[in-house]
This record gives sequence, C-alpha cells and structure tokens, in this order.
Amino acid sequence: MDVTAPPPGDAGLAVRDLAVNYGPVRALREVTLRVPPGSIVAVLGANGAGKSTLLRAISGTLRFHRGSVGGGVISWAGTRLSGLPAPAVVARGVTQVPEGRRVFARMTVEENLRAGGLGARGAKESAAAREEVLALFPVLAERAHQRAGLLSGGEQQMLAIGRALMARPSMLLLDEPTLGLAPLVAARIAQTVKEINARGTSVLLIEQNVTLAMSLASYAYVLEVGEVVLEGPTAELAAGDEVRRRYLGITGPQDEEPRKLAPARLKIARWSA
Amino acid sequence: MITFLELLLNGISIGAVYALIALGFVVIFKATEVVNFAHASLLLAGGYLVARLQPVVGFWAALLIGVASAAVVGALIEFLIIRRANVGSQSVLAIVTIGVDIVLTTELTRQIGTEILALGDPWGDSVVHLGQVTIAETRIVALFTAAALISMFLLAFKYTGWGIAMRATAEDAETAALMGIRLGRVSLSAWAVAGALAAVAAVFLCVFPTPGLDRGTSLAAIKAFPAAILGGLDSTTGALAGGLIVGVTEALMTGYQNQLAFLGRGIGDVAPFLVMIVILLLRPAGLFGTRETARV
Repeated sequence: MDVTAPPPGDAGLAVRDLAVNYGPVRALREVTLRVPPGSIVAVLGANGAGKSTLLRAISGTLRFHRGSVGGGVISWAGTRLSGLPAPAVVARGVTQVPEGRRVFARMTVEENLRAGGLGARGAKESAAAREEVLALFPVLAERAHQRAGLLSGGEQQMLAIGRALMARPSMLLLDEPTLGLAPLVAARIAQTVKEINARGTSVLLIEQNVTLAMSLASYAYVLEVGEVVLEGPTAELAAGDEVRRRYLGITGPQDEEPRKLAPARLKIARWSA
Repeated sequence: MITFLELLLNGISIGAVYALIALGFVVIFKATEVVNFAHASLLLAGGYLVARLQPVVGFWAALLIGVASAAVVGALIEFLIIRRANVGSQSVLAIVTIGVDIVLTTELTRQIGTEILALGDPWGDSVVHLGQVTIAETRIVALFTAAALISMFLLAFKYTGWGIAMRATAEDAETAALMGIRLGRVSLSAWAVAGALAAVAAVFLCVFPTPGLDRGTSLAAIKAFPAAILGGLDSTTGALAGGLIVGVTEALMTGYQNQLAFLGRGIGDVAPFLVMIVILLLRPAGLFGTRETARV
C-alpha cells in the first residue's frame, strides 16, 4: 500500500498518526494522510467513520464539539496546524467549507461573502477575492442582496464555497459538498471544485457520493471506525475489489455477511448515479 | 392633554436611555449567548467614576474617562471570567454574572455609602418650553444622545466588518470561526461596547430631575431587563422598542398614579415588569426575538 503513497516532504497537508478523542471516546486513531500541493484527495467512509472529525481536527474546530487531539501532528506547508485555533488555521491558508453549508441565513449573500473575507489581509486583497468568487459563481452577484436563507440548496452550497474562497485559501477542505443536492447541481459543484483546483488550490474532499469523489480526486483514503483501512490512487481503487464491494454498491454473492456499511452505501450510490 | 404630552415626552426620553442599556444587554447576548446580570453593576461603575472624577477634571473629561473605564471593566469581566470559565452551558455563565454583579455592586455601594453624588452636568435643572409643554433640558439631551448613539451603533452593526463579525458569530459561532473570525475579540468588543453604553445611560439616569447618583441607581438599571426581554433578547430592534415601551409605560403610570390609586402607590416601578409578563405570555420570544425554528 505504501508504495503508492505520495512522496514524503514538507509541502502540502500532512496528517501523521492523528488521534482524536471526544471525552473518553476515541474517534480517530493513527490516521496518516497527505494532500500534495495542487492535488485533490478524497476521504471516503461510512457515517461515523471519523471523516468530519478529521476535518475538524485540521481546521481547529474540535473544541466546538468537546473533542481534542490526543496525539499526532497536522502540518501544512511545513508549519504545524495542530493545536491552533480556527482563525489561525485560516490565516495560514487552510479554509474549511462546513458540512451542511451553514451559510449565515439571516445575512445577505453579500454580507456572507464579507464575513468570509474578514480573515483576509487587506481591502485590496478581499476585493480581488470577491471578484474571483463572483466570476466563479455569477449567481451570487445576482442574489447579492438576498438573504442567504432564501437561496436554493445548490446556491447555498455555492455561497458556502464562495465564502470560504474569500479568505483566499491555498488549501480547501470540503465536507460533503454535494450532500442533499440534485444530481445536476451536484455535477455543477463538482465541476467548480475542479476549476478551483485548476487555479492551484489543493483540495481535501469528503464525499458521500463515492462515484463523484473518485472522479474528482487523484488519490483516496478510506476511513473505517476511525482508522485508515485502505488508500491508493483513485484509478486503482476503482478498479480494485475492495472499494467496489464496499462503497460502489457492486456486490457479489460472497457479500452476504452482515456488514452494516454496505447497504447504506449501496443506497447512496444508487441515489447519486 | 398637556400633562399627557409632557409625560409622553419624558417617557420617550427615559425610554431611550433604557434602550441604551438594553442594547448592551442584547449585544452581549448575541455575541456570547450569555445573559449578563452584571449589567446593572457595570452601569453603576461607570456612573460612579463620572461622579467621583468630575470635581477633579470637569464633567466632560470625567464623562470620557467614565465611559472608557466602564468599557474596560466590561472587557475585563469578559477576559478574566467569562472567557476562562470552562462551563458546559451558557446558563451557568449567567449565574456567574450574578456573582460578578453582587461583588461589584456591594463594593460600589460601600464606596458610595449614604451619599448622593452630583454629576456636575452642564444642563443643571433648566427646562425647555415647547409651546405649553415643559420638559427638562436633560431629558432632551438624553433623547438626542441616546438616538445618536443608537443610530451609530446600528449603522456599525449593519455595515462595518465588526458588525458583520458580530452577526456572523451570533448566528453560528463555529462557522464564524471557520471563516477566520476571532470569537474572543468579538466577545471582548461586545462587553466593552455594552459597558460604554451603560456608562452613558448611567449619566442620564442620575441627572435632573433625579437628585444624583446614589446606591439605588443600579435599581433603575434593572428596568432595562424587561426592556431587553420584552423586545426579544436577541434583537437590537427589540431593545429599542422594549426601551421605549418600558419608559413610556413607567412615565404614564407614575404620572397618572393618582387616577390609578386603586392599583396602589409606586405602580410606575412595577409597570415595566407587568408589561413584560403580558408580552411574554402573548409572544414567548419577545416582540422581535427569533423564534426557535428548525430548517433542514
């Protein structure tokens, strides 16, 4: 497995032997993964496997969930991220788009974008960021003065991504960006993620929609009950049996063993096809 | 009719002062979800400093120092106690603020003793005649000052980066942090602003026709609680409306208490709380408060 792992080095995002606890409950153990600069890496896994916990640990929001890093190191471009509060992580160029969009519903689209740019360095910088975001999502310019709560799900997701881009991150963490979106809208979001990545932003993607995640990412990790159980280039994973069997809903007769994950995955894969 | 207009005008003026206090209360609640029961003592601290300093440095300098100090006291409460208290729920913090209030108020009342401290304000006891309506100059100044401060605050809340950070935090603190907003700063600034507003309010609660600042001044501040609550604890508009409702109710009930003798003396002091109870029975979240709504 390690043969195909990205080369070691200081560049990009590196998570080494990460352990996370929620009180007495260990949510992650010895998770090691890398996101090389400029790449898209996906993290797959069932609900409760620890995907969101992984992102919280990187973005410094574990304390909002009474969780803490119990060991290991997270670093970005050679500087240590673990232990930093969320705003400091943003200041170092790593920004997370939260799961479930979490736009500021009572504020306008414009104000949401401004909120995203508050961590930026200057007025000039945030004006440039705003222009880029509006070029990427023209619909946000049309809806600038509408309350964010009144946008459709897809528009809210675009706003959530746009808001995160206002901080001009060099690394974007995406938590289930297509959750609950119609297939066409999900495809549009996927296209945008590709565009953002093409402009040089590295992406760590958590996605329920395995087909979509595999098509976007070049490398993927599979989490199960808090541990990395599988990793590799997405092309190889897609061709191999493991992921197909577990997550792509392609089952053979040998899969009659009562695996809790498989039926749920099966449903989602079918729904998103 | 003249009496009514006088009472109404007085009520609006005092209501605007209550609105200043309630606004601070609401800002703290929005930014930190803490119900700040120490607000009355913050107000007393600001007023006390103005009263003590004005013989030395003059009214305006004393006012400036008093307001700044109240802001610092507010910030210190946040920094030393609220931020460090590692408690599970914000309602515990509300009880912590009761403790802070008791400590601060006890010390200040000890300092004040039985004295009534004059504020040495330039308006004194002069009155203004608007047609047949007579009103104290201090009430007019109070009204305009409160209106100006409230407008400034609301504009800042709507348009500045600080305001956006405040509102974003109030709506969803975790996401605000993910956007790079420093929650500690937001919370600190909320407490400082609330302290400053309370100090200004203290001055107008103690000038003519009130004889001056005494140990009972913080009781007057307590009327701002129903103002904040009946308006809706998380609504700045609600604080304004609540302040005015409480001020006008109090002024009218006090002014007409001879006609309302069957309700007993001192109904004016009780009225704000009665109004609050009635409004909460009809609208549990207050006039402008956000009702708990779930959206998927």
